[in-house]
Order: sequence, then structure tokens, then C-alpha cells
Amino acid sequence: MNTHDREHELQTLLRQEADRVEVPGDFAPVAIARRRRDQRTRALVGATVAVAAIAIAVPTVWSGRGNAPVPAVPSTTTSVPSPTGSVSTPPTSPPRSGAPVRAVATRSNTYAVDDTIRVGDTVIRLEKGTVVESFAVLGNGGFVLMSRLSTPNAQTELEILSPTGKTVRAVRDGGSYVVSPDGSRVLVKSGTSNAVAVYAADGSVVAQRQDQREAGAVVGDVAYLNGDETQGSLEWNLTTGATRRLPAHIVAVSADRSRAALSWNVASDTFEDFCWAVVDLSRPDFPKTIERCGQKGNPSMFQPTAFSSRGTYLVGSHYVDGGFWFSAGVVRVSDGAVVVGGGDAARLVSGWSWHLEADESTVVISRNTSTPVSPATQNTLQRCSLSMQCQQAQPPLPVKDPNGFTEPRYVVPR
Amino acid sequence: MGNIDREADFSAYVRARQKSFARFAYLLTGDAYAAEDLVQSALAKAYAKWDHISGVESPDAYVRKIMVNEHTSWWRRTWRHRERTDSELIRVMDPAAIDAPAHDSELWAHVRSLAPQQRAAVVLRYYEDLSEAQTAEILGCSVGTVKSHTSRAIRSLRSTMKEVTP
Repeated sequence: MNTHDREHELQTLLRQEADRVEVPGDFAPVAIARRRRDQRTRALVGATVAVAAIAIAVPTVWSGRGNAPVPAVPSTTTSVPSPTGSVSTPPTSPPRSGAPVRAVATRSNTYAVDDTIRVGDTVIRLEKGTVVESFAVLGNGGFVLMSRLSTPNAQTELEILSPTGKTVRAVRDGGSYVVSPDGSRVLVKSGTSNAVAVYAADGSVVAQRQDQREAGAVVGDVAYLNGDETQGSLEWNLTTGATRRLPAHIVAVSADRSRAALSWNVASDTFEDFCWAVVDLSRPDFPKTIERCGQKGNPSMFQPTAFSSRGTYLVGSHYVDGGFWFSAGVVRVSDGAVVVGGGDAARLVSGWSWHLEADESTVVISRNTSTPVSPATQNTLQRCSLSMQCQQAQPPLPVKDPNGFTEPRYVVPR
Repeated sequence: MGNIDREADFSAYVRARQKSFARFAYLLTGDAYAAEDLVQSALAKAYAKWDHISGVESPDAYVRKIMVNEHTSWWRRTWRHRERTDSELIRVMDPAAIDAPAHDSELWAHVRSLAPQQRAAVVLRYYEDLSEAQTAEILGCSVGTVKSHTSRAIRSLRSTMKEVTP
């Protein structure tokens, strides 16, 4: 048999094998959904800053949800304390002296499991079948909730909830959101238009504008919109309306507003290299204090989403190809050292949502505790040191696997 | 292109080409679940850049390039076992169910054992019928490297084929 015959034999073999493959389904909606889900979930990371709250996140854009009503409203109520609420306190923690006692939600004492938000021992029930995609705790003890119903083709909705779980603002077409460190402001970019709005924790509108940029950060009464190279990012004073052009790709701003984290993609048609940097906002030329880029500088393809409370670290995720879980990451701002997570198996911290507490030393994570990590089968809520010495905060639960997309049971607030 | 138009355009393209991509992915991975995951992942990336990809002369080449790179990336990250995908978008029929002469499973097993870049070169050259230059473009390497990949693959298959061919 000569080389030509061998090539012919090989060709025949490959064609026969290929002929066995049929495609009974439709890849298009699956691929689109996967891209959107991937974008959304990558932003499920948070930093700590102040008391009850949050700073966060990479803007995550999802498509408009049309005119569908907001699904996640409080449903059942068994007891206590607000007449409009949907709060129950389990028998294990009865109120003393006959008076109901309900913890005020903070980022430390709150998590979501299935269709409930747990604040200490208090259970806030969302509409039955609600899937919490992400949420944040506000300064008044209320919440920002991004969720959908578990029914097929349900649309993701964004709401601001009161401390008792009552919807105080349904943000129509809300695509991405970030919350200020003190939890007093919520910056929302529409998923279907150029509408940008800032809401107070009570759901009232603080400011609005039309802008193509995405939600970057909001600190006090200053919002930061994330723009590309052509637009640049934008600093927007919510009180005066004044604006200032800033470097492109702002995804987070430190609590003192002195530094901004940038995150961008090195575009090629096939590879996705990621870069991050920190710029000094206090100087007029916004110099970069650190930059990590590409396969050599940023081999785990870290993507920051938030500063830690004192700005020592950036919290975010390392890149994972197409998986249904994510890779937690914390890097030190001063030298870019990877403190948590990484691209190899030994350092991998697999999970779905996480944040760094105000002490800058405790990572709270909805973690994938499956062995091996894929396919994911088990989800546990853990509190870990930066060296990843972990304690179980809530017991392991089997993951959900609707339509082939593995989903966690626990969700950690941003 | 607006979001709705973009989605419709992308969907039409995918529906027209998905069988081809699924078969290509199966030959790259040798596994139905991995192939489905690979196609999903590659198309999700393609969708993200659809405004650009839809305007090029050969979108298929771009998507194949994404698939090859994605698969190579998976292989390098040995810890990343692909997630289960249960939607059954790809079905691999039993060899007995198709009207074709049977080949030796050992030969197929040997093809599957080739390193990803080598296997990709073989699949692009001998299944997709691409030229060495086109294969090099997709693999992101020189024509010489393609020649080297394919000749080595043929050589390594030679002994196997001697064993399985009477």
C-alpha cells in the first residue's frame, strides 16, 4: 500500500465516521443562550467595601426580555414582621418575648438557596420556581435581584426589593447592574437600549441618561460608565450632571475613587487573551499603576470585577472554557500576584459566585465541591481563608441540571 | 446590525452549517458529548463576534479555526473535563445503522489517539479536503508544519494499517 492508498484509506475512514453524526437539534439558540449565560455568570463576583454592601461587577449584558412581567415577587408569608412582607422565621429561632426578631441583611449574613433568600435564620420566599442568577444586598437591607423562573424560555428580570422582599422597582429591560460600596445606589444599563439609570435603595430614580456605554461602577454619587477605546469610559456626577472622560474598559472603582480597574479583551477571531490594569484616577493623565496582559502576563486570563474593601485586592474570575461553573480569583493590586485560584488544576477554585468579605481575608463562595469538578454534581456554601482553608457554611446540595446547563443551588451576594 | 437581525442572521447560518460543524467536531474529539460541547462553545464565541465573522469571505473557516483552537486549549488544560451536555443535539449512530462498509475500529482508535494539532491537520486535509495552505491558515501554522503533521500522522498510521489490513 503506497502513500496515496493510505491517504485514501484515511479519507474513507473519516467520512464513514462523520456520516454517523446526525444533528436532530438546533444549535443556534443553545449557542446564543450559552454566550449570554456565560457573560452573565462571569459577573457573579463581588468585593467588599462597607457595612452591608457591595461594589461590583463587570457589566453583563443580556438580551431584552420583551414585555414579560417581572417574575420574582414575594409569594408566601407565614409570619412576621412587615405587613407587606414575605418573611418567615423558622421554628428553630423563635422570637424572644413574643416579638419577632429579624436580622438586617448584610452581605455577610445573607445567601440565596433555590427560590429563597436567607438572612440569618430568616427566610424570604421568592415566587415559587424562581432561579436566582445573582443578587446584591443594599444599604437599607434590601436587595437587587436578577432572576428568572425555572420554566422553559423564562426571561431574566431585574428588580430592587425591600428588606422584606417586596418589589419596589422592576427594572424593565435591565441588562447589567452594579451597586455602590455603601449599598445606596444601583447603576443599571438597559439590555435593549442606551438607557442608563441610577436608583436609590428604595427604588426611586436618582438620575438617568442615554449612553451607549455599559455599567462600570458607582461610588457615592458618582457613576462610572464602561466604554470602549473609541468612546472612552465616563465619570458622571449624579448630583451636578457633570461628566469627565476616563480611560476605556473601567469595570470597578475603589471605594475612595482614587483608582479604577480596567479589563479588556485582546481581540482576535479565535483566541481570547485577557488583560487587566489599574489606573490612578487622581492624576489627570490616569497613569497605569499595574498592567497584566496576554498569555505571559496574565496566563490564567484573570478578569477583575471589583476592588476589595481597602483596595488591596481585585476580585474576579480566571477564565474557564465553556464550562458550567467558574473559576474564582483574587489578585493583589500592588504586584499582580495571584492570591486565590489560577489556571491549573492544583490552584483551581471552582464555583459559581463569591465575594471577599470586608476583612479582606475571607472568601465566601458558592463552591463546586464535586470530585472531579466536572461534571459538577455538588454545591456547597463555604467560607475560606485566602490560602483556601475552608469551612462549610451550609451543607452540600446536589446541583440542578436543567436542559444540560448545570446550575448551583447556593448564590452568594455580590 | 441590531440585536434581532444579528440573532436571526446568526441562527440562519448555524442551521445551515451545524451538521458540518458537528461532524468536524466529532472527528476532532472522537466523542459525541465532547463534540456537542465543542460546537456549542465555538458557536457561542462566534456569536460574540458575529458582526465581524458574518462579513468575512469564509465564516466557516473562522468557526473551524475557533473549534480547533478551543479543542487544543481543552487538551492542554487536562483538568478541564468538559461538562455534561444533555440536550442531545448530536447523535452518533451505530456503525451498523449506516450503509457503509465497516472499517477496523483500531484504526479509528489510532486516529483518536493523535495529538490534537496533528488530528486537526489530518481532519482538515483528508476530511474537509482543504489545501495545505488553507489548513495552515486554520491551524495558525506554516505549510511546512502542516506537511510535517500529516506525514507524521500517515507514518504513525502506517504500522497500524499494516496490522489491520490483510
